[in-house]
Amino acid sequence: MEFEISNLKKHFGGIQALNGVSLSFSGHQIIGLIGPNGSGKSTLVNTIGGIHEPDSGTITFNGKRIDHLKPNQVMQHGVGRTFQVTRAFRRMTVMENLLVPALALYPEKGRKTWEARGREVLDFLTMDHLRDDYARSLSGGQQKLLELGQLMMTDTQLLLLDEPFAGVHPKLMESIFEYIKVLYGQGKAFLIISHDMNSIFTLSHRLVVLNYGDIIADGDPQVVKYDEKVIQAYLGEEVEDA
Amino acid sequence: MQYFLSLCATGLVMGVIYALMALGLTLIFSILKVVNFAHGEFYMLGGYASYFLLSTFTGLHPLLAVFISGLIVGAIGLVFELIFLRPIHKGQIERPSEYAVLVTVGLSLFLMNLSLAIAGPIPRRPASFLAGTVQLGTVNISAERLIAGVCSLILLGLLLLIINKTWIGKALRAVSQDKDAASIVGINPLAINTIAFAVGAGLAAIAGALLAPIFSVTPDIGATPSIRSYIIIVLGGMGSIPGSILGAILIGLVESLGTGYFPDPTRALNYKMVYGLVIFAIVLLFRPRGLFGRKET
Repeated sequence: MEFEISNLKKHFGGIQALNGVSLSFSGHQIIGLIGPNGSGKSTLVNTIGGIHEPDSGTITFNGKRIDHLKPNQVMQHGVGRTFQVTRAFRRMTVMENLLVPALALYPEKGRKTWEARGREVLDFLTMDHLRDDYARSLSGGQQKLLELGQLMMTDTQLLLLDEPFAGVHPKLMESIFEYIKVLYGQGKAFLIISHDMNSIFTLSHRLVVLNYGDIIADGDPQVVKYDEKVIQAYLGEEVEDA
Repeated sequence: MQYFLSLCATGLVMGVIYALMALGLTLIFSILKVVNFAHGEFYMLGGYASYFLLSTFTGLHPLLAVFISGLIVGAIGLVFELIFLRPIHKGQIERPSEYAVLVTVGLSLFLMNLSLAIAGPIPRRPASFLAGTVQLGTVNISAERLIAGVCSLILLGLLLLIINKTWIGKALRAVSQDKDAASIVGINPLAINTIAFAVGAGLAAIAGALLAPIFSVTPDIGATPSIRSYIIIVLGGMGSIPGSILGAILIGLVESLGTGYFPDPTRALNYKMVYGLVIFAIVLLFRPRGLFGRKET
């Protein structure tokens, strides 16, 4: 797996949300993406996922340009995402929510095959007993699991998770934590935005810190943790150039 | 009692046909978030298409002409959506709501005047499906209306089956609930928009073609069914499919019973729309979001 972002820029009105971000990795990794509010984390994920079109710069995944593609086309290239505020289809059942992405991307395999796969995914997520419930009846944490399940139904290689632990019951948070590790073991890569520092420092192999649309630190989480620029960014002080 | 049952039967049959048209409007509104002001003209085009098909191909079965009319008008809807509505959803229009009103009203005026130029103002009536009346128990009902009602019922059933059981139905429901989330899971919302608009236009045309042998077709015939459809979808709850069907049947029944029991039979038909509007006002008074309307979350 090869992923590369090169000199990515995005502005909204007078605000430069991404100021020439470059980031790359090979193979599968769990990358944590942190930064103070308004630092550009969600903009970066939205731009990778095709929701925002970049002003300039490139995004390539496995050698193919995916910038300027629509979200459904980005998904077809193997890059999927979840939302900070869950966007499960509330008036569909849990099983229907799983079938939608599978049938959208691979309709030729047929409903029966996908229903069987859906049962496997729900078993894995220990949600099989909820398969006929409407998504609107699930808790916030269960809806986050459901979104993870939607990505598992497809051949998504890179999963962009926006605040997967936010507002989730501690028990469910542990489960999500474990599922991410299992999926990583199956060869998936993750780019995870989180404000939950304990989880993100423990889970990530690499930590990227954004501030005002720039990457201010990138490396081993245990090193980044003590980076002066990072500490200053979180304390809200101006960072002076060395 | 027999008179009451007969009015109910007519009301039910008309309600099912109204449902077909209202469902088309609901489909377009819930997916594209656009109120189609040309929906009545798709209804009118369906009637004309059926009339000209049956005049040109004399051996053609009237029911087959109805469905071919639906396909022709569906194709017109498809082309219109691709050219005029797709730019809205590609973010190319600065004021999308106003633009949508202007282009659909423009289409409505264009189609009305085009029909006037081609077919003239004289009412046209396609060949009847079946003349006479049918005895259902103690109730007599016009064979034409019964066949139109049964065809509409079959189409409604088929449509509900597609919406609830097939992949395309799931995609339609997903886009109607959350366009961005649908896109993220691999659905192309632009393609779904086009499908929804074409199907909506086709359904209106089928309703028009089914009723053309009963009411005849003129260039301005779409106005009343169009207004009735707006009433039905608001009554049922904007964007709700069960709401549209129930609302249509309710309006069909109320119109039939209101006309049948109006004290002065010579003026009863003049107030046909009023009976439905009274029910509409009462329902909205107690349920402002309509029968099946939901608060968006």
